Amino acid sequence: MATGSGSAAAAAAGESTRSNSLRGILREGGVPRGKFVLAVTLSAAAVLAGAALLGTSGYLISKAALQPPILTLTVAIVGVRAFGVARAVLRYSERIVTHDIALASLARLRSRFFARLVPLVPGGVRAGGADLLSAFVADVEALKDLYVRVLVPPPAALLASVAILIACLLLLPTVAAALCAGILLSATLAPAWSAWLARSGAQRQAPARAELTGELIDAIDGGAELVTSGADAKLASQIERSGERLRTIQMRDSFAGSAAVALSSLIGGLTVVAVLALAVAGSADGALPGVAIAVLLFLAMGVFEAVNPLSTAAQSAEHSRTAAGRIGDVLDRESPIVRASEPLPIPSVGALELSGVSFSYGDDEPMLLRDADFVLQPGERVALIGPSGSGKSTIANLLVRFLDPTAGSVTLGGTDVRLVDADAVRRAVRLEGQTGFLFTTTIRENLLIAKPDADDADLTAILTRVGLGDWLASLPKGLETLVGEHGDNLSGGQRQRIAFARGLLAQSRFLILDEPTAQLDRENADALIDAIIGDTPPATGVLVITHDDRSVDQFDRALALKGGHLVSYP
Amino acid sequence: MNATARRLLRGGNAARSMLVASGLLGALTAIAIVAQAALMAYVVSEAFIGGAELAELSMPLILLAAVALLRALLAGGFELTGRLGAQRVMARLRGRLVRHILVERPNSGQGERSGELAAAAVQGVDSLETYFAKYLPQVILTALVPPTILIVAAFNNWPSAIVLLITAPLIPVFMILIGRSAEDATRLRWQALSLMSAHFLDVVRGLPTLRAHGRADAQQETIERVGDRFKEETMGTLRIAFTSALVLELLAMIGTGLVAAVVGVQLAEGALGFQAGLTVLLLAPELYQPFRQVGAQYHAAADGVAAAERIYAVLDQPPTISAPTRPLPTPSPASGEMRFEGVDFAYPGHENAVLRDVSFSLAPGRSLALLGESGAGKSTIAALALRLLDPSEGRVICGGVDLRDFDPQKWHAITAWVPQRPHIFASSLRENILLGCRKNSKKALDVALAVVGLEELVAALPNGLETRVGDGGRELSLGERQRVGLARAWMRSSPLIVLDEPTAYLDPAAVHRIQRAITSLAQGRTLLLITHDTSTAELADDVLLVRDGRVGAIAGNDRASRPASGRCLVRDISDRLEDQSASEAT
Repeated sequence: MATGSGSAAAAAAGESTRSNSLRGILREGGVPRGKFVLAVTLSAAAVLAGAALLGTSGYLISKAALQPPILTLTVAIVGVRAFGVARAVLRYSERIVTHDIALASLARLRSRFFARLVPLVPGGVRAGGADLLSAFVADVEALKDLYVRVLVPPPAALLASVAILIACLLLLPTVAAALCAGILLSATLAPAWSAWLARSGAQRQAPARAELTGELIDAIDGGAELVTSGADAKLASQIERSGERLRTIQMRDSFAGSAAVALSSLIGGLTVVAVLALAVAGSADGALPGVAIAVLLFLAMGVFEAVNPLSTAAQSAEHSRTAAGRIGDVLDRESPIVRASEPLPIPSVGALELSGVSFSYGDDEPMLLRDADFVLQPGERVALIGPSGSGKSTIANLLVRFLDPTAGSVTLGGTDVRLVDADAVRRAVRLEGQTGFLFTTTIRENLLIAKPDADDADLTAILTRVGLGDWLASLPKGLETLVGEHGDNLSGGQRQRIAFARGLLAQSRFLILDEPTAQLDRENADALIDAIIGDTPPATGVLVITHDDRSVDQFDRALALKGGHLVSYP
Repeated sequence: MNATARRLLRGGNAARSMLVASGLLGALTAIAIVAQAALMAYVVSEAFIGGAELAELSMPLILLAAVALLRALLAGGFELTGRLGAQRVMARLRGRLVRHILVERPNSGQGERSGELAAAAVQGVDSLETYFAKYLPQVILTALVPPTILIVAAFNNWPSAIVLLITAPLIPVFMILIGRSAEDATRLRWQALSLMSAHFLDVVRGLPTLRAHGRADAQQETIERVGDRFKEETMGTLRIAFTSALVLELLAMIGTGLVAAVVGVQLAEGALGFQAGLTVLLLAPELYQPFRQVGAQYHAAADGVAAAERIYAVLDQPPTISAPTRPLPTPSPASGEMRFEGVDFAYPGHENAVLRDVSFSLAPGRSLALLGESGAGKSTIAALALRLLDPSEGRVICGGVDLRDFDPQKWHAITAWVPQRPHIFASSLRENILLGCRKNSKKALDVALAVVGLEELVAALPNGLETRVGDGGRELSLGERQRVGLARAWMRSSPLIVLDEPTAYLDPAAVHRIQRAITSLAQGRTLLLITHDTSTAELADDVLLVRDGRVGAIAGNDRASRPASGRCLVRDISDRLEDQSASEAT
């Protein structure tokens, strides 16, 4: 059930299909084969029921015009009603099934997208918020059309067309031939044309949208600074220009879409006229009973209900392909760390050590670390001093295996961390990152990230320990208080203290704190450093990364990063 | 939905001209539908009853082909009118949004979910297109086509017309009944979608933190859960939307079937001519078609309106600053004294005042440090001085005139501000530093880079000043952002400079350098310096303590008597501050 028709097709095409193709997307989203077949069948059956309703109506009144006994019309009258009800119910069911497939697959794609993003951040991908938002929301939403508009209509149209053509063939072959030609034309020319016209637009629209979105985000987030520096008019006109550029592209798309709508309507309309003319000729020749003229007319009108959506399908397929390509561009990057194939257990004792570590992000990038050696023993309190941007955070990233060294090794209890499971390393060595990042949720949820099974007493105790007890008590909602977007409702100091509390809560063997005092005033910073040194469990090794050397004396020892080398400080 | 829809359609020429064009297209469509049915019925009738040859019917068949062409053009015309209209309307909404953010509420951005709002203003055009190109034409057709068909049907066969007359009005009744709940559900769906994108953005930004705590996999489950909830909610909405479609479809199908039966019986009794009967039968599905289309597009249309609603929600927020209708000439802080007089400030809708009875003055050319803990209200004082906010009570004056009597833009043009976390725009580093700077001298830029200590960074960057920074470009650390902000202020020769925590993220060496820069920046300018760092506060001529939204007495920090007394004074103040908090704590 779980294996999709898409996955079968993709497997047949070989392993080379990545997520940047529609097949790759379909395979990742996983289309359930049973539901897909059901959707196609329901869709075709709905079209056929509609055509049958019209055809039977045509037969009914044509027959009636010959003034037979009314009883002979009963079957047709009942048939008309039955087809009518069936048509409505079938269409409803088809829509439910199709959307069910689409939403389930999208939910899966979102979480897969995230799962594949995890090893790439930080390091592999710069987590640009707007880019990811636009890639995720716009591209994933575009993929909904892949399921609703692209996947089901073509096979359904084929099924319905074949059935109706067979019925026409039995009545009058010339009509069947004309109708077949009309269907083929409508099913190929209009979709191909609209897809071809849309392709260039779709390709150009996405970058224009991303640019406009980025500029709008700049205007919203940086609005006050633009205004106070008098640069607001410039960005406003830039947004206006980007908007106009997007509109120009959108207009091209609109012409394509409108032309395709007109074209498919025209092909359908002319085919019906041709069918009518041939039926009239057939009737005059005696090849077709006169009663059937109206039947053929109605059947021809009915079949285009299945064929017309193909233009939209082709256009949607193009949009989906572009979106899939962008999604793939992000996901197909390589992970910055190597996964251990058979992970070794982590020794339960021992130091955390950098030996001869050099690091750069790539061949063309500068060396951030050169032959750095460093040992953090359990229970030690060490400060790493250095100006901002000197590569201190790279050391933190190496110690928790967000990155692997370019040369040298990181060991934990003597075992190279590349040989053990990265998550196990991070359980033993916890990092609280640079800005005291808080999620847009409650204080409780932010703390539980470190220890999901902690109870309220634990959380209150830990917040009290970092000096937030009174503040917490003053909050009407306590731990349930929302911190605002990334903690904007809190002061910088409160954010940093919550982040430290989160680090403490983890009860790991080593704790690395990156700039824990960055936004605190002197008194608060000193108090927090006191707490870090005094309140962290004695056996825990602590590395505090800071630009502030005023508290250096309180640590067991201090190091500094100078020109990529680690040296003792001062 | 309806209030927003009316607002969308009333606002501006774009919407009006689109409505007029769609109305004309709709009227032509109604005529074409009737002509098509009449011609078809004539041809079939002549061939079937009259036994006419193909050649005798060539004229009506050619006319039918012409009508097919007309209908194709009309269909294309509806599509084009609607889409172009949607794009124009969205462009206008975007323009208003930008104006609102940059002119009326310059300080509002922080509270907004920028990604979500930007998505509504860019991606929202898609659903608006569906609304204008697919839904609206059908609404117009529901007003024009059924009456036309009813009249034509009544002339041909009044019993059928009665059948149509009875079934057709039922459709709008059901639509209203079902539509109401669909509208509510659609709003929920949109919120669920926004919630999801905001949640995803949050999670992705926090991915390093999640990974550090081994919670990334758990978050993947949460994403799945949020996605599942989204799916359930959406399926709920869709079921409602589809149920309304089901009802419409049933009515249309049963109506068509009834017309066929009524016509058939009359034909069999010889009470009706075949041509008239067939005309009515051909018209019957066309009568229901616009209703069915309206139902089918309702859900998509509601999405379009919801996107507009998101933008209107922002536009409806009251301005944070008022612009006078007849502004007074703007005095320069270089010559006029700035004064806060009994200023209270509370954010609208918030009970707690951020500032209470704040009064102080800042003489031209002097510097004033606001010293206090974070959250004390220092940044709000800065926002009031910069006119990003207006006071709730009291007034801020410059040169004896209330700031509210000036044109805010003119005031902004003469101020420079470095916030706590300067925003880095998606652009080159050079453009970020030259933000709002009219002169572009390389020498001045080099000096600015040296003063704030950015020259090493620039030298290390592969493309130097042309390196793309901000969203999608090279990430800058907090310290680097801070320096870019300072370089910006340096490059703008504004008479009033406001620095918010300029030394907060910097290493001691850089702090020293920045402090020197501040000193030279303050030469001949009026400077408001916000800091929690006493050593930075010592740079100012005067120091003002800010605590819990109130300000303490101004302490002279006179350069003449420095270093000895000045430093002592600041130390005294901070000691006093400490004593105060100690006594309050006990």
